[in-house]
Amino acid sequence: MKGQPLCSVRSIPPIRRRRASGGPDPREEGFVGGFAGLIFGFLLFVVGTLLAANAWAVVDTKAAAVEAARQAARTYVEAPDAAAAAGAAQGAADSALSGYGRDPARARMSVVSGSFGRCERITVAVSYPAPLLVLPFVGRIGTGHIVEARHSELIDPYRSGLPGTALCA
Amino acid sequence: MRVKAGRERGSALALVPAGFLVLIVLAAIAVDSAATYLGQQQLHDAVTAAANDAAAAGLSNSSFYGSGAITIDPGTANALVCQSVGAQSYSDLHNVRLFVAVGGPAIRVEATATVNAVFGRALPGVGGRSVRAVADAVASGAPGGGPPRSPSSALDRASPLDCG
Repeated sequence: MKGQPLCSVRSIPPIRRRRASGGPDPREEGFVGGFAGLIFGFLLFVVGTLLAANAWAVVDTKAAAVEAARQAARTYVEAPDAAAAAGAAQGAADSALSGYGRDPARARMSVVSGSFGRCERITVAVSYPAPLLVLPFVGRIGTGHIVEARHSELIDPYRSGLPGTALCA
Repeated sequence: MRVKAGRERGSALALVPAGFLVLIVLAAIAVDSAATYLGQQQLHDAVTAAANDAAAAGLSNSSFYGSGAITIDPGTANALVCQSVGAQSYSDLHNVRLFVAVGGPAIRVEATATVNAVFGRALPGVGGRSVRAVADAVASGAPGGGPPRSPSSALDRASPLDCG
């Protein structure tokens, strides 16, 4: 220790010297660019995931509604009489929605045109609220668009049990 | 390794948004493919219903009362197919083109359509995808539809149908 100075200019790290002069910290060089990239990536991920998940939820719900409408219309025209047709169609739509993992109580089914008669063209509409998001391990969250699907069928002109003539076209 | 780490310091920051972008593009492709498949299913449902309606209501009365044969009248069948497909009101299908072939008691309805992509429409050239569906139906006088019949070879020559 004898003869050594208490403080040496060389022992001061260069960082301190630069900071003292007002320049940027070299350890933080490029931080702004990298941070902006992180923010951009995070926003891209969040917004993109929300968009894709919402679109998927709508497409998935539409598939269920389309199948339910088709089953309901087919069951309606095959029913033995008018009294049984509406109930059977509702039951077919509920079964189709249950098969797609949906709650039938949230669906609305209605015969939007036509009536039960020979050569009558009936159109069945099924609407179901699409979830806002579908996430893995979490399930469906929120309620987004109301998705509607329609299907139209002709009641067989040559079937038994109905009045009227078999002239459809 | 030290030399490499020194030169590539911070490159992971640039790779993170690029990786996320790839994930989002893959998710968009998955959604568009599902939408196209849904459109194809809707088109198939439409042609199935049309073929079924034509086979049920398009029977030729003159043929039946004249010779006892069950045949489908092509003119009536065409009108019924147009009516049936038009009644489906599928908003997701565009440029629907119908082709109908009738051979005796059998009818084949074929359709092509374009399905709009959900995300792909933002890019030129991939905004719509073409889908196709075919359905056969055979009219029968026997209860329950009778024995299954194979459609005749005349059905292979389906002609385009103009529904006006």
